[in-house]
Amino acid sequence: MIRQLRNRANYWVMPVLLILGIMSVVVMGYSIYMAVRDINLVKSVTSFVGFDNFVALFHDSRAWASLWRTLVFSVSATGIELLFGLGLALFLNRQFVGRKLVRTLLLIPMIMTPVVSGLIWRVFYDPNAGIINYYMGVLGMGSKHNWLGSMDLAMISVIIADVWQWTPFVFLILAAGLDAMPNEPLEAAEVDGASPIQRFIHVVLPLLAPSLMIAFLLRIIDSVKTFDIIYVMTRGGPSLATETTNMYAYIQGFNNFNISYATVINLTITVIITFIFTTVYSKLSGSKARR
Amino acid sequence: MNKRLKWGAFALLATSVVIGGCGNKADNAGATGTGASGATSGSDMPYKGKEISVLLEGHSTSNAIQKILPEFEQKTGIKVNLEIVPYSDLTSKALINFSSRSGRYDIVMDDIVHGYGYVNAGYVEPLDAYTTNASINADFDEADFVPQYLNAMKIDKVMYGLPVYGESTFLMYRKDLFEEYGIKVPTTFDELMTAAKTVNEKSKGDIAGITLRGEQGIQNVYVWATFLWGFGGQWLNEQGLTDLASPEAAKALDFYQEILNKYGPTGVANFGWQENRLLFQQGKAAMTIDATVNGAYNEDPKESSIVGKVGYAPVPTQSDNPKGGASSLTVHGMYLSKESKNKDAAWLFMSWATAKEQQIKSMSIEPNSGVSSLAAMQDSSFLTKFGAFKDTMLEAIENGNTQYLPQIPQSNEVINNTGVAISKALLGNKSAADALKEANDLNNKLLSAK
Repeated sequence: MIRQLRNRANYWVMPVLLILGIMSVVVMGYSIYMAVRDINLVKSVTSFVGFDNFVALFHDSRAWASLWRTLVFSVSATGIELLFGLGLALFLNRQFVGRKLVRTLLLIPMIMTPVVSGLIWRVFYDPNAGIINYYMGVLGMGSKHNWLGSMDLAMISVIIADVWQWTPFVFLILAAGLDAMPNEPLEAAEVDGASPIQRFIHVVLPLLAPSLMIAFLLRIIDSVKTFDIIYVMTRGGPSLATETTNMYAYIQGFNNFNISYATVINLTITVIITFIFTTVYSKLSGSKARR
Repeated sequence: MNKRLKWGAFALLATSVVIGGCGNKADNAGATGTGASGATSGSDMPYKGKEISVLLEGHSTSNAIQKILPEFEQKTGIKVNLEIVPYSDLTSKALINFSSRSGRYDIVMDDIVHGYGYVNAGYVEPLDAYTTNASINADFDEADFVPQYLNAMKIDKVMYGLPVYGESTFLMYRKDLFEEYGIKVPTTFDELMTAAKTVNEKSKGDIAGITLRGEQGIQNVYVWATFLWGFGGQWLNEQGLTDLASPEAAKALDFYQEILNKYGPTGVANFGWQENRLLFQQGKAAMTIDATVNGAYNEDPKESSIVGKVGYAPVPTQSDNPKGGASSLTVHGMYLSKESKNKDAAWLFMSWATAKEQQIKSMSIEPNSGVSSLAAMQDSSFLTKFGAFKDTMLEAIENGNTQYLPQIPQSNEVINNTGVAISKALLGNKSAADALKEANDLNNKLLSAK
């Protein structure tokens, strides 16, 4: 009986699967078609070039440097967001007056369009008229910080903007995880005389692990493909300091109009990133299973 | 369970990265003009009921055209759909539509730098058959266009576009500060350096000696090219390869990074046109070299706190024997798509929109100092609005260098490579000579692969 129902359910899922399948096959097929040609929008003729684009990418140091920056950006932004998000979720996981208001206010950055938040941060960071330098000057921490215009600060500045925008998202997931957490194990641990720190490490964290994993995965995927705030804040500059792979592919595709080469960059990066993250993911979930 | 989760995560990652790679470019489609057409019918409106689509660049001229569009629709009965997008999104939008041969836009407005690519790829229509066709050339007056602008729209003597607006570059300086500190207007780059130094020292660092664009890409290249030509360098040599590994180019870039690092404002490496213009308008810098349209902003009391305090002069040069002028000549024109289904109607619109009557009107609607019509330049509103910098601007246009930026189909990529080199030198990542050598190699690889 149940089996029959399940079979019947499959028919309802089929159309969606079919549409999704066709769409990804068509898109992927067309990407591969573009990847083996030399399409440039300002040239009238294109020809088959085989793997030339991939070979060129292999020797393209700018692409590899951008991949490294993508990793630096994604890992540090995601790490900081998880840390802050966890802290916030734990801190706000209690009853106090205005709890709902605080939670709602916290979500504002997340609702904002990334282009808008990028523009806002660009104005904040303005070295001569920006609010950040002004208040740092008032507090005696110097008012001439070159946020987006120097090699050492540009990447950090972009990461700060990303953390500001997406920490609330992590907070939201973890707060939901905390809300759904059963009280019994905590109470049992308390009865057994576990200290608050012991309770956090041995009870709360393991119970929160699935939420943490979801937050981590969603955030890392999202930050690998971050484009808008970097485009708005620095356009990959100065001196390529914030040029992630997506940004580089954009410049190749939409500034240099090398459509084929941009496709090759994205295809290659997709494979590499997917490989890295699935390895990391299976390592993480594998160690959990052993325990 | 774990295995299934793993594959699920794999699929999730794969699709999202692919989708992300496609780029989430904001579609900045602007307002769409809807005019009240209708009016009288008759034999004087042979194109009544036709519909055309026009892609315009976000610019004061385009805004003015949008406002007076109903007049055209009433006169001809043609319905015009205007789409206005920012300059930075314009070319990719146009090219994607051109390359799909969809005929989505009948007319595209763009910079001549990109026009070469359009012509090379065969996307746009030569206009000679229209300019000489007496039944539809009533609005077209070849003699009224600024000759330099019109010539810039021609490739091998064939006209491919109608100039909408044009501009050049000049030196803007603060007359009050120059007087206070006893500085004379610089005519060479050495004097420019001294002037920047004096301002910086005498104002104790409060006011930047000079501000220029540093943002990598077309932004810094557009201003740096002044120094390239002024020091006696050039973009392309006789063989059509790039000539950026020359000592003159290295000198130009070295000068650029030195003057900005010593006497420029904080954060200049991320300055585009906007930041540069705003800093100068707020009185925080004593000099800048930029587009002539900035004059209109400097003298606009709504925008600027330095109205009437700005002096205008031709850009300085160093070399006695430059290979080309150091001030730019940029022209933005309307191009007619080869795939257009209503070419005659589209031509009527573009000749109307660039005709002197409309250009004269545009100046009273928007701060449009870049008019391409000689009659508009002699009009009284041109004199009253732009009098402070008009003469220097016209002189700069007169001496403007059409090769100021490389005029080749691959110009965009050459400009991008060079912009990265400028940024690297500005940040001290590489010496000027090394950075330019790197860009030069990339450019030559591109130009020799034909």
